[in-house]
Amino acid sequence: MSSMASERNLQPALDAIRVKFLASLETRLAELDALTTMIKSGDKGSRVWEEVRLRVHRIAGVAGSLGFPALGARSARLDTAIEQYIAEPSSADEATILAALDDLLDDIDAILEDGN
Amino acid sequence: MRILAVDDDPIILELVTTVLSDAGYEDVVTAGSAEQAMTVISTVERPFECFLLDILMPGIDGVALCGEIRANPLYRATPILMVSRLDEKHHFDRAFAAGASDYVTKPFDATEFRVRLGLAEQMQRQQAQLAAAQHGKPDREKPRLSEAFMLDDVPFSIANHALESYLQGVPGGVGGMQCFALKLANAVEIHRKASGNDYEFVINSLADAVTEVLAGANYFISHSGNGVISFVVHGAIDMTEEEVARAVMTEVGMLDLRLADGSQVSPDVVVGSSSVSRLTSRSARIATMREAVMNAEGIADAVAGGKIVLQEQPRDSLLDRLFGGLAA
Repeated sequence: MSSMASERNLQPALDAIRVKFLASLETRLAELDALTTMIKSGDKGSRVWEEVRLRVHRIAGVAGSLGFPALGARSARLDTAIEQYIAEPSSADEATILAALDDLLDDIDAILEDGN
Repeated sequence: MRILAVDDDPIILELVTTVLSDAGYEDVVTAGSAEQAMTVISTVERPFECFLLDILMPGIDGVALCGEIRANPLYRATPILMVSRLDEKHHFDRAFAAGASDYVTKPFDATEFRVRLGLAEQMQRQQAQLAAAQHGKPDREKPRLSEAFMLDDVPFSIANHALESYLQGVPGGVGGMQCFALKLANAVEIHRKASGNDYEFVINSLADAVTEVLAGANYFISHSGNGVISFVVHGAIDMTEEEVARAVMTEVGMLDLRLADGSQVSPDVVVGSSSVSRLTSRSARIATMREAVMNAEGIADAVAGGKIVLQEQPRDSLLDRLFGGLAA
């Protein structure tokens, strides 16, 4: 969000929101992890995928604005893939989407470990 | 400007509030769901002047909320901005059909945010001035000829500004778009004769004639001022551009329009068109609509200049000449 960063008084407020976002990532990761486990253990109802999508969508909506463009872009791609998969399950391979979801969880993990 | 921002993620709401505050908008109320937003809207003492709605939310989504807000007479013309990622623009057809005025994209960009909010504020101010001007008057004041007033109760009608935003924001995809402009060639004369809301009645009747032809198709229609009605057909339609234009002119020809004093008016209309692929750039899509308007206005000017006579020849012959170009 470079153009945002250039605004005079905005950066301190954005930094504070960024800290809150980082703090929330742990909960988001845990929730997504639990939902992924449910799917892998055989709960393949579309409701579970909708819950996954909602969480991925939220990350996609905010990450890019808070200085995590790669996380934002990966989440956005996954969000779109899940949306299509829910609408038409035959349009995609669930294993591929699960692999992409695992990659996203790894990204979040790395950001949390990095601490910034 | 009093704003209601709706999003199911509290961090996004905090971000939106911060960005709005930085842009000078401090009077902001937030809601974490569409359901909560509807409660806030129904209980608030001072009405909102602008809405910012996330599209995807659990339960009632942002598009459905947009429709609910638009159905409230108090918010019939209030700016509603949808908040969307750039790659989510495939929801735009639904959002604009539900009454959205414009959109802002995520990740947020300060400049874009200011521009979009500035446009919304300008739109809101015009609506407020219009409402104030009409307050206490038994009959609505006749709009200026150039005023792009909203069509009344016409299916898929949107504000002229929203039509432009739609053309700018609509995503690429399969299927093209056909842009049309209906020009009321004798708008000046009819506007001069009209009193009260007669002129709006004529424009709305012409728009209704267009919607009769487009029944079953996907389209948006808008009044652009100066006797021009712009409409864009998106998605499949089983008529060519020329067939649409001919059908509209035939439909208009069957209208029996009478002003409040009982006098009959005969609208002289021409229809210009231009088509474009959704894959072209947004500026190309805007240019295509302008081309359709210029096409219609060019023919109308020719009519006014006596190069083409609308009333004194068989309809089919006239249409052939119109579509054959001014040199025909």
